[in-house]
Amino acid sequence: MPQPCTRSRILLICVSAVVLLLAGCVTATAVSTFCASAATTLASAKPIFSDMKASCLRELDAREPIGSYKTSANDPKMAPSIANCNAIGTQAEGATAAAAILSDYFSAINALASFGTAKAGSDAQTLATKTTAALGSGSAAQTAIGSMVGDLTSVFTSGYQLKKLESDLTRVSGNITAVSNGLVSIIQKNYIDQLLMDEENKTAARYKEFYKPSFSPEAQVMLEDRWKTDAAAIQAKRASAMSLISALQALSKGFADMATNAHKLKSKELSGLLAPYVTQVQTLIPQIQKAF
Amino acid sequence: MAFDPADEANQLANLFYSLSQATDDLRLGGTLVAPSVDDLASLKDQADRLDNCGHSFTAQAIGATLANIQDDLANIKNVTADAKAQLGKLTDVSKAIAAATAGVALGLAITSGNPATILAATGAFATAVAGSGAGAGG
Repeated sequence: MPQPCTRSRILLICVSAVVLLLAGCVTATAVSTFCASAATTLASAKPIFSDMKASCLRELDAREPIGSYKTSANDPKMAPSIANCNAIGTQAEGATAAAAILSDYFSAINALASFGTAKAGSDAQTLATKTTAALGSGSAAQTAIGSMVGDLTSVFTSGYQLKKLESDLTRVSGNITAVSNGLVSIIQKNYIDQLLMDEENKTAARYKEFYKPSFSPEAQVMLEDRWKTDAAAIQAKRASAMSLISALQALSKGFADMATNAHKLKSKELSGLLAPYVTQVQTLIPQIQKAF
Repeated sequence: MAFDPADEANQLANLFYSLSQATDDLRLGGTLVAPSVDDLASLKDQADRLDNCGHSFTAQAIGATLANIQDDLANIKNVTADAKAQLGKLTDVSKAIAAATAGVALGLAITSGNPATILAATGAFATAVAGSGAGAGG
């Protein structure tokens, strides 16, 4: 009885194909979710890098006495100082470009990981069913051939997808860490510790300079309130920048773990490995965006 | 220990910002004995100049940090281009399998010698080849 035997083989092939396909999908989904979070985080970095020049210019404005109603942009003597801020802006654009390259990488990996192997299989199945119908085959044969072609297409594309994903992850593992560390250094050392700190100090100095003990209590309270508002705005930017640092560090560590373990962990284990990083980064994204 | 331009520029920037702040503290701290208006103006001017030096070194530090990661960025760009090409190949492979399936069906139809069957299979094959991009001529 060859027919039941053939059916059993077809069934076995189909079941095996589906099991392989599902295993691949879980891995690709975990990688895709992680990469999508990374791309969103890096897009949120742009306003922070843009604020480096803006912070420098605000500091120049803070040099003008309260009540002078002058801005640094209107003062020819400030041209050399503005040139320094422009130089910071130019370099910050380089940092934005570096973040964009990183984001582009994560988006490409996300696209590769989320490629619809199931849909590719489904499309091939539909076509195979149609072409076998043209031969006048019976509906059972059409379904069986269509199913086999669909599953084999899915398995083939899924296998190719996973192999390439693994290669693309390991090839840049060290580079992602280096670029993340570079961006963290710029945000921490140059933006938070230098530019925002300087802006904060000069803003405080401006209020101290303006203050006179002869001011009425009401005027003193108003002055202090105004200073607190300015200080709070700087503090909010600092908090956003620190959230970006935490997110970049989580992405860097998560990526290193993913690249190291992509070939040896089972799909569910890889998903479990990445889940805490994804949760942490997704929590940080609104905090990064809060001040901008 | 290797010379790190970014680290050196950061240290200089921090030094100039600190000196600027110390000058402001001196000017506004009330410890100067009977300073003249000119003295205070001169101190403010010095504080601003020191701050300008800080800004200049901040710009250089950012530039040096970015220079340190250029090779890493170049490799990431290469792998990104590869990943995009691989995505294109995936799409092509799935289309090619579909076209091959239709081609086999056409062959079988021709063997059958039935004109209606050949016509239907030819139509399916043409659709599949068009979808695979094989007929694009290049």
